[in-house]
Order: sequence, then C-alpha cells, then structure tokens
Amino acid sequence: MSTAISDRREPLPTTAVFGGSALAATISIGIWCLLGAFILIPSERASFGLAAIAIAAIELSRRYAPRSFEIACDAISQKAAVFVCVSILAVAAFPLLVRDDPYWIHVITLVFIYGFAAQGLNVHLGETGAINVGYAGLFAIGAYSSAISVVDFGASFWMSLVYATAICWAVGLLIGACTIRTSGDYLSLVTLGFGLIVYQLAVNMTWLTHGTDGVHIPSPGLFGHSFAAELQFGPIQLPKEANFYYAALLFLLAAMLLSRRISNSWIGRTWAAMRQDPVGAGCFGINVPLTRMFSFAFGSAFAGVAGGLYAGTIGFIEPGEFSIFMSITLICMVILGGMGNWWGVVVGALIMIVVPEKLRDFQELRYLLYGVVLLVILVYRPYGLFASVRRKHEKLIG
Amino acid sequence: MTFDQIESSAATPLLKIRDLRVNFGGVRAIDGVDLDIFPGEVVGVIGPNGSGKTTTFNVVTGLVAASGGSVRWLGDRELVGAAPWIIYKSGIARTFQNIRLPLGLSALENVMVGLYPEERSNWLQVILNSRRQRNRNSELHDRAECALRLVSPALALSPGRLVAELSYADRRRIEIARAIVATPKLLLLDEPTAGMNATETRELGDDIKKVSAAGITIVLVEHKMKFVSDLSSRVAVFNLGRKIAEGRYDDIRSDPRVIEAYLGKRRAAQA
Repeated sequence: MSTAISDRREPLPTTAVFGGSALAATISIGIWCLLGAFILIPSERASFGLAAIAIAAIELSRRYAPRSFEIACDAISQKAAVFVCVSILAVAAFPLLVRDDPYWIHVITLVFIYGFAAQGLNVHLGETGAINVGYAGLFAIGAYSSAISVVDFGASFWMSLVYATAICWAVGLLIGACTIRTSGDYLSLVTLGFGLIVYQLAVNMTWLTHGTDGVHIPSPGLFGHSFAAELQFGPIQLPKEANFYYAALLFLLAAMLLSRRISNSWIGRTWAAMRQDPVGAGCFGINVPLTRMFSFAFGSAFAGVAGGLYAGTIGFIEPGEFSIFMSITLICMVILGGMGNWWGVVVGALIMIVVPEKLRDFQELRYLLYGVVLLVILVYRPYGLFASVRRKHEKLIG
Repeated sequence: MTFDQIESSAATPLLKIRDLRVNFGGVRAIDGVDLDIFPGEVVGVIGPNGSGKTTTFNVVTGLVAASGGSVRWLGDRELVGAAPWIIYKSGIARTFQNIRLPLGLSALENVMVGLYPEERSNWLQVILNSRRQRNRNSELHDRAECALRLVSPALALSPGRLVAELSYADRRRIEIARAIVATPKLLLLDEPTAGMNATETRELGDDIKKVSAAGITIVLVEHKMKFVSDLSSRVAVFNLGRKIAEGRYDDIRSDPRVIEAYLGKRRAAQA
C-alpha cells in the first residue's frame, strides 16, 4: 500500500519543496554520473577502484554522518518523481555518450531484457514464494515462440511478442496446475526438471527448433524504419544497436509500472498473505491453489516478451544459451536486487550483467571475482540490496 | 441485528453439528459431538487440553476433514467437505490459537486481507488504476479502518505499522479485526486471551462484547473461566472428544462430570 508506507515516513527536515527537489536532483545526477563513469572508464581496474571508493563513501557517511545520510535517503524517497525523471533522462541519453562504441549499448539492452524477465521471476520468487529454478526454460519458450513465428510462420516481430507472451502464460498455467499440490523445495525440483526438459526438447525437436543449428531472426522494423538501420534523431545519428536499446527500455518501463501497480494493489497483498501463511489465507476467502496457479502463469508471461526481445536483439538463438546457468543468473538478479521489490530486481540485473562484462580484463579470475562480489553483497545485505518491506519483516508461519 | 430478531430466529440454529467424528489414525479426536449454535449467542467451549475443541473449529472452517457426521450451516448447507475459502465466504470467520498474521504486512493491510472476497476490481482495472478501482480501494480501506477502530482505537491511529513491530496483544486485536471486517454471521475465537495479562484480557472481553452487540454470533474456546463466565450466554464442556455437559456457566460448574474431567476421578470424589 503506498499510503501505508507513506505513513511511516517522517517529513523532510527542510520544508521548502524546491530545496527537497534540488537535493533529490543533485543526488540522482550524482548516482547516474557514478554509474556512467563505472561503465565507461576504459580501465577495469580504475572502474572497480571508483566503485570501491563510492561504496566506502556511502558506508562511512552512513556510519559517521547518519543524519545527513538519512536526509539524502529521504530526499530520494519523497521526491521519487525527480529521481525517476533524472533516471529516465540519463538512461535515454546513454547511447549518445557511447555512439562510437555500440558494444555498451548492446550490453545495457541485455540489462533491460533481463530486468524485464526478472520482473516475472520476481512474481514467482519474491511475491508468491514459488522458488522457480527453471525460468530459463520459460525464457527459451518465449524466445523460440517469437523466433519460430517470425521465421517459419511469417508473423511480424511485434505480433510474435504477443504470441510468445500468450504461450508462456499458458505454459506457466500448466506448470502451476501440475504443481498445485507441491510447494517450497519440492516445487523448485519440479521447475528444475522443467528447465532441463525444455533444453532437451530444444536440442532434439529439430523439425521445430532447428536443433543446435539455431534460428536466425531477421531484424524487425517499426513504421517503415528497419532495426538494422542506424537511428536518426534530427542531427543526431545513433548506431543500429540503439533501436533495440530504446525498444527494450520502453518494455522494461512498462513492466516496472505494471509490477508496481500489481504489487501495491489487493493482488500483491493477497500474494503476500498467501506466501507467508497459506493456511490462514485459505481461511479468509483466498482460494490458495487457484491463486497460486494464476500467479505462476502471470509471472511466466513476462518470459514471452523477454525471450522475444532477446531473440530479436541477439539475432540468433540456440539451445545452449538457455541452460541452467541462465536460470541461476536470473535468480541471482532477483535475490541480489531484493526479492519482492519491483525496481530492486532491475538493479540486480544491472549488477549481474555489467560486473562480469567489466571483469573481462581479469580473464580466468573473472568468475572467482564475480562470486566474491556476490558473496560480499549478501553478507552485508542479507535481504538483497533493496529488500521489500514485506519481505524483510516476514517470518513464514506454520 | 436487534434483540427481537434474535428471539424470533432462535428456533432454527445457525450452526448444527451432529454426530461429528474425526479420527487421526487410531486416535478419536472427536467422537460424536452434537452442538447447536443459535443466532446472537456467545457460546463458550471449555475442556481440558486435547478434548477436541480446536479440532471442532478446524472441521467447521474446513481445515480438517471429518471422518463422519454433519455440520449444517443456516439450516441446509453442509459444510463437511467444503474448502476453507468457500466456508469463509458463506459467513464463518475465525481466529487462531497461535496468531497467524503475515508479519510483513501492516496492521491495516492484514485487516484488508479479510475483505478479499469483496474485491470486485479485476486485473485490468488494477493495471490501469482506474477511477473505479481507486474508489473501491478507498471504500474497503475505510471499512478495514472501522474494524480496526472497533478493536483498538490506538491501532487505528497508526494503521501503517507493520505487525512485526506490534505487541502480542495488538496482534490478537488485529486478528479479531481481520475476522470481523467482512461482517461474518459466526465468529470462532480460538483461545483469544492466550498469553495476555489481566488488563489486556479485560480489554479484549470488552471488545468481544462490542462485536457481539454488532450482531455477530460468537463461539469462544477459552481456558480462563472468569472470562468465559463473563461473556458466554451458554457453555459447552468437552472431554476426550465428547461433549459432556452444556448449559449456563453456573449450572455446569457444579456438574460432577465436569469436575471429574478437570480434576480427575479421585479428586472429584473428595470434592
């Protein structure tokens, strides 16, 4: 409940609205400058040095200047609109900064796509407590549905996203129906099996999926503009990677808005009540099996658009990409960002995609360092970076 | 419901339990219980631990399957075999002996969970955040606040506080508010004063009187005899899965079977 949360906040010490907005804007710009610098500094070592200094500064100010830290946090949370505007501007302007090197545009596009998928997985993991370790299977179904309907059935790319979403929703409903009597650890085992089955089917059903040869997806177009062409905004010319960058960004923003609405409404409240105490929820009119089933289907549907965008952006899919490793990456995004937090999981996606890219310089040490980063975050923030209020205080009943 | 209405409908019981049996393996948790609950009553159910009081509640609310017998609701509806959410929608709400509240939700959100069957807005309205959805939401919001105010005016002043931050007594009050928010016909309270001190118990007694005065029939499982005698118009005594006595508190207090159930055979003979 947005109203319930706002009750807990104390008013900003400075009553001047403009002062609060200016502070919020300054902090937001600072955050995005730091992030941009982290990504764009060519030397990886310098990047991580910068990150270490920034984190140390935050930690020190939290410890030794708690009041200032609180004021800064309040400014952001109370002037969320300012932060959102600055963020959207910053993210929209990013391709301008890296016009000459489209590689980072491509990486951030992947962040958006994974962030979109993480919204769906968050419904399973964060909101309803269904520990789905086979989300890559759904992701694969989304990607293949979209690719096959474009390549073999001649559908337009945008319509194929609709088909993929519908198919993922139906598959999610099916899994939900099959697992109606299981929950917790047993449910994760079923989803693990599901992920493996989808992978095997993608390899072996060559008549449909072209097997390990993979599927090539032609670049889509929109209103006569081909996504294979460079993007022209008046005098500004952006590389062709920017097409999918902005498309994926719009989809991600829509998904975040959707998640927020659902999470703050009676639906999110029902899910939270059911997750924490299924027996009690049943005694208050909530049809637990049916609600579980449809929430699973809802979370699965996100994989349709995510998979379709993924296929379109990469231009080529093959079964190997949708391995258990992808499921684990997605789970890490949700847990790291903060389960049940619709914007936290996007931060999780950002970290999980950008950090390994920045670590390329360290070669074989890469995954070791990556693991260390994850460990350190979860040691200091056991509920993820930005835990949802509901999650942080819950204790499962019964 | 006014007193006249209660009198006139007193002939047909709200809830009619007949020859109810529940077996857990070889254990006969409930062994042929008959019990009638009439509209407007406050019925106390007492008895030693393991006498089948909570199990009876669990059967009525659909959490435990009966091995035999029937539970008739409003004269004709059979509740044995119905799902808990169906039973709640037909007008029976309950609280639990060990408080079952999602700790991560606020006091008000928890009460609003009880209004789930009345959420009329569909997914599309939620996603579009339509005017109708917002109106509906604020309407239910107000109703939940009313229920919260009834059991605790103090809590209603800070409805956004998380249950995890609240005291045990406040959690009990929220549980009762959640159970009455949808104005059920019958409220089952399972040891509502467990873990409460004398003051809190007295306050809770007042709350229950308010709920009863609002026209809700109440069945109360309780161990504190003073509490039961103050509130109940009628008391049923359970022992070893059977109802051994029923009547006004003062009458059953001197019943030899009741004394035997509580104190044992030899002591009862001495008394």
